[in-house]
Amino acid sequence: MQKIFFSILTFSVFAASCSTDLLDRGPLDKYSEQNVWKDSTLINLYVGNIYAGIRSTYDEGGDWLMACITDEGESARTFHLSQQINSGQYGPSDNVYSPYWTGCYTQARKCNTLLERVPEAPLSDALRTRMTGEAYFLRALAYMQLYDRFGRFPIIDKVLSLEDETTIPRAKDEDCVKFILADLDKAASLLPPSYNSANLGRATSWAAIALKSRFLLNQHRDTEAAAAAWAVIDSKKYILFGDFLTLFNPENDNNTEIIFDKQYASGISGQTHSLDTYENSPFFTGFSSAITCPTQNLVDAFKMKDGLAWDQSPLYNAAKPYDNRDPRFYATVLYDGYQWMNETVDMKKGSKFNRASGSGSSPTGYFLRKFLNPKFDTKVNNNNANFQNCPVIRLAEIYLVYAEAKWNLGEKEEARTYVNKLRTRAKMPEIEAADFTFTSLQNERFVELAFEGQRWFDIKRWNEGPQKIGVKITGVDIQDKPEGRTYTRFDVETRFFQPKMYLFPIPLSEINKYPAGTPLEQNPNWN
Amino acid sequence: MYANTDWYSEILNDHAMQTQHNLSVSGGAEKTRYFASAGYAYEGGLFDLAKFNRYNFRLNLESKVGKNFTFNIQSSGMASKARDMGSFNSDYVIQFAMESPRIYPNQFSNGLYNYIPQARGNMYLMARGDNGTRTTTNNVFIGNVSLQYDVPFIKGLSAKGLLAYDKQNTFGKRWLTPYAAFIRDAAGNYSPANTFPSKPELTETYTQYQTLVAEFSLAYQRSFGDHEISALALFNRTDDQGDNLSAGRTNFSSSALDQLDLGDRTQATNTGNATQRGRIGYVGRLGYNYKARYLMEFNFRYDGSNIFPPGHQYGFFPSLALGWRISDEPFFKRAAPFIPSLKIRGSYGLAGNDAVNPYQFLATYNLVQTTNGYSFGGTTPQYISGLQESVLPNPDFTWEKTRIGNIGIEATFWKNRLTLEADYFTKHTVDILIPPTQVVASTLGITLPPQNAAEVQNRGVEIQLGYSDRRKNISWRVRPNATFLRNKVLKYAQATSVPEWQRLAGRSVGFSAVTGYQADGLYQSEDEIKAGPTPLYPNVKPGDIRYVDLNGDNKITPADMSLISKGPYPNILMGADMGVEWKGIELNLLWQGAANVETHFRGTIAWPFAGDGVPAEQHLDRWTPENRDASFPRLWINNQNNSQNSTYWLRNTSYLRLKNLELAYSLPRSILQPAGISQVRFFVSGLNLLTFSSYKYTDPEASSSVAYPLMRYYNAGINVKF
Repeated sequence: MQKIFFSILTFSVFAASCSTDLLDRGPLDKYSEQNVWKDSTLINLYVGNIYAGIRSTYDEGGDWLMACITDEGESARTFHLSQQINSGQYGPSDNVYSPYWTGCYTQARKCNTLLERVPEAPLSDALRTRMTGEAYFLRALAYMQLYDRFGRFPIIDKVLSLEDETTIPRAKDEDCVKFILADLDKAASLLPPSYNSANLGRATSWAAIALKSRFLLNQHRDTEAAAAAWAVIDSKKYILFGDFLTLFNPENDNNTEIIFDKQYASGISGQTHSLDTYENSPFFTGFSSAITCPTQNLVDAFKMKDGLAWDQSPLYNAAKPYDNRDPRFYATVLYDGYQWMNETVDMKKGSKFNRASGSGSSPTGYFLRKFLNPKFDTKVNNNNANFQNCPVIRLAEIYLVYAEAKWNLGEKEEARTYVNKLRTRAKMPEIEAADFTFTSLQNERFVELAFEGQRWFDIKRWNEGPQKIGVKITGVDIQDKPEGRTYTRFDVETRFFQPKMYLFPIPLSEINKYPAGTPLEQNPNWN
Repeated sequence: MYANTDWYSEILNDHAMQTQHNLSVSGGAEKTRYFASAGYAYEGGLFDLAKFNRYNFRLNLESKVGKNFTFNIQSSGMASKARDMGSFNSDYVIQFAMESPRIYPNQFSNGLYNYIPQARGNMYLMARGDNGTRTTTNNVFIGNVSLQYDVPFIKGLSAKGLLAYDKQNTFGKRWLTPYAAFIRDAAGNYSPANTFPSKPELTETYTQYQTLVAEFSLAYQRSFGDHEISALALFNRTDDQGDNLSAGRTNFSSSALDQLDLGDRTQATNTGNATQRGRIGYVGRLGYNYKARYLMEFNFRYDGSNIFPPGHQYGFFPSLALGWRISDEPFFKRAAPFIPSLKIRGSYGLAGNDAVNPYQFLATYNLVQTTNGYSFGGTTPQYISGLQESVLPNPDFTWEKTRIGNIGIEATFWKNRLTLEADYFTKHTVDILIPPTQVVASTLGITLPPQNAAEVQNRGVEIQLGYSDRRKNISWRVRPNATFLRNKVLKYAQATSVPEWQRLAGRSVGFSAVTGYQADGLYQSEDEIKAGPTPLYPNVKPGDIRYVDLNGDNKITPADMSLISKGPYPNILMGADMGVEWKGIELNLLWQGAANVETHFRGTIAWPFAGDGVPAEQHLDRWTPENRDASFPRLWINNQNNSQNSTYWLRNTSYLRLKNLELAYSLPRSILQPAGISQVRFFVSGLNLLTFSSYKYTDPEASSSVAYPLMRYYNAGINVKF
């Protein structure tokens, strides 16, 4: 008996003494730095994570700011941040696009880490070159999105630690532009022009050049923008996809028109978004969805199929206002009577599709149709698993960049040629030389690239905020009268605009981190 | 014609049941003593589906073995099961009940249930269980075995070894089932809504957590005449490990059985991970007292934690306590015979805290499964998990330390009828573990690690009085207490560009301070707005809140914000326990209150249309040109000027509450003794019966949020002791 007790005693003494290693245990669910950078498989996962950090428009489904602060759309949510912006009720403390600020530097750090580690890592030369190119491409993309929204920014091109100065001031405007262009040039020289099927979806040299043409156009550097756009067109690697209506369907992911997409995949383990879940009518999704609603302003921008505006064309019938439109209209806007997922959608307020008031009720009389998957099955995809790719840049935009740059350079016929290529694909009549104006070029961009995240920056480039942002937003009021269904335009709201709004205010929470001597300067007139 | 649905009463019951049963026995013989107890508790929720059951037991056994050994075993266990609705938690149900538009009917006249978009279905049906259930089963076992050896040749010296093992298993099951709710369109047609889920789905989670403690100690305690000496040396090793596992499937073909095997194999998910922690402690204690009149105790801990980087793992935490029982002094007994007991005591010491996430000193990369991986390969995508840096490593941080000082007296007066206990205490916390989020710019691009960066001081006075007396058959007692607290942030890293009036350091605010504008009533006319300062936003109208221009630049900007409130923590806490007894009949009252406390209220209660909510009754007193002296601004949706943090929304939430009232009757002993029963006591009691507060909108004790309401409980029971 005594022996047993002694053994308990000795055991506890023993257990207590052999404990020096107790405090030196490593984590069970994390890799160490040494593991990662010696293993090409793990490095590949690290690169994958940077791709996953790309901010695409689909990721904003349901909370889609860019679409709801331009004349493209209006949010159905009364407390959406866009309502603040549209009424001028925002400032540095409202964190407009602050996720882009923090997100950009998270991406930049990951790219900088990759650039510092890759030279020493056990990789083949081809892989090393590709990963270096990918790092430059992804860094440029993040900084472009930041520059578009906030203007000049603190340039971080190395991995910072707490010992480093982190309160780095905003660089000069020309230095920011130079930095982004240099990254894109390096990416273009290092990345391959295409990939085998297993690596489809990675950034190519053409993707870098395509982004460069967009960026140069925004900087009013038309000659260079035209040259970059022409390089992409002239490569003949990309062809306009035949059918605009199915261009964004998941079965057409990575089609011939796509230069760079954010990749999503179906299935349990895929990277998914929730655009279909948030933007379909509540009837299909089962909750207060359908949040980003197209405006009548956008609907009116779609010409009749004879090429004339709705109020000039003989094809327009007020009782059937959606007949005989530019075919792209049917791929962009879900309107009253639309055939969608085996239902005829009734957009009259109070229908089972468009609720009378509150959540799930469209403020404009329209729901979004563009990008949505017609085969989206809420029965299977209960868990927000939407997987069609999101376009970042496609050939149609390159045509429009080229056309606008050429117009600005005085080569109007060249501009018209490429606008007409888009119209031909869309099955619209070509614009005659006599009718071709800058306005028709602008309108082409509006309808072709609606909801692709470019509208705000286009308006900024054209300096047409008062004409295109600070405008009256209209919707359609649908009523059943004895003579039949009527469609009447009504005013949703008049938007607020001041020129300072072209740039968003730098988030106050960031400004407050900078010491008094070296401030993070606020954008003009935002203090 | 619209419905007028009282969602609150539609969904929630106005009462819930709870029961509790406990049984305990203790006893023993010369060498062995035991204690055993078992209990059962049941709590019903505010809606029928919510339930909580708990069983627990305890068994302690101590036995002397041989001459010098004492064997002790203590074990206890608890098994509980909680049930809630499948899709949402109870708090959400309450929020829904408060915010749902009343014009939505719950049930149509034809018996079909209405589909409410905010609820993503019908909350009544969910609360009834039609949408499935969430059950959590929790099993806890705590046990320890120790053996003490009293060293025979040195009197008072003993050695003790202890092994303790705690094990906790939690099994969660979330079973979601489809149900029917309907949309009625303007034409009066009903169509089935797409409620969630469309097919049954099941997620099961399993967590196990265990702690193994090994302890070895030497203790010495002995009196030498009037001198009493005690000493302890202890070594402790704590080893924590945990595992998490979860699995789920969707597309079940039937709602009848909730087993994973019956779900769709192609729609299966699983996750798993593990954690471990280690701690080592060396403890020493030295105590001395003389005639129990002069008391002294010195303690120290030397603790090591794997939270901190090598070289910074150990912290030394000494403390010293002194006491003087003045009332035992002969001179005092002569001078103040009406004070039978008076003790002065004081202590000062250090305590450590390591409650931050582990491994923040290592450069580690964690796998991020579902959201941060990526797919390459186009039509035949290959998904790769993402790998990302967890946190910026900080190789140089250590224990957070609190210097705790205390001076107090304990006294009794007038034959112990009046008692007094009063303490003054300070808690000065240094090296507070906090990430430098206010000074390190986001340009760093990674999650910040904790640093030993802040310093806070708390001071306070605690007073407890007691008076009890007896006259003939009646005895009564009154025991009020009060605590006065004050805190001050001494050090907190904020950039030098932050205006002085927005800095925490040097102010009596905690880290939960509210930053906002100072309100100056409501604008009464356009002229007032035009007169300036320029309001925050261009759409400000009469009836909106006017703010004070703190920096005098004649416009309202974020620079005019200041620290307007210390957050929902009271400076004064008070309570009182009182009771009266007459021939076995007792009445006991427990009061509780707080003062010098305010809440900054937001959301549904404050704003008329928060979310897709509905205005509350209080919003009737809104500003209109006819009602200028209103208690709320003009009726508004999405008016940013009014929804800013400001002193306009601060409300005093001081309260006094009758926390517990009990009426009891004990049978006289003369009846019981022959039956071998020592006590039979019947009681009825009520919890939270009365509340006095100027804050009327919600419970003042939990005023900052819309959550599960404070319940008013009524209990009835019987205690029997043998």
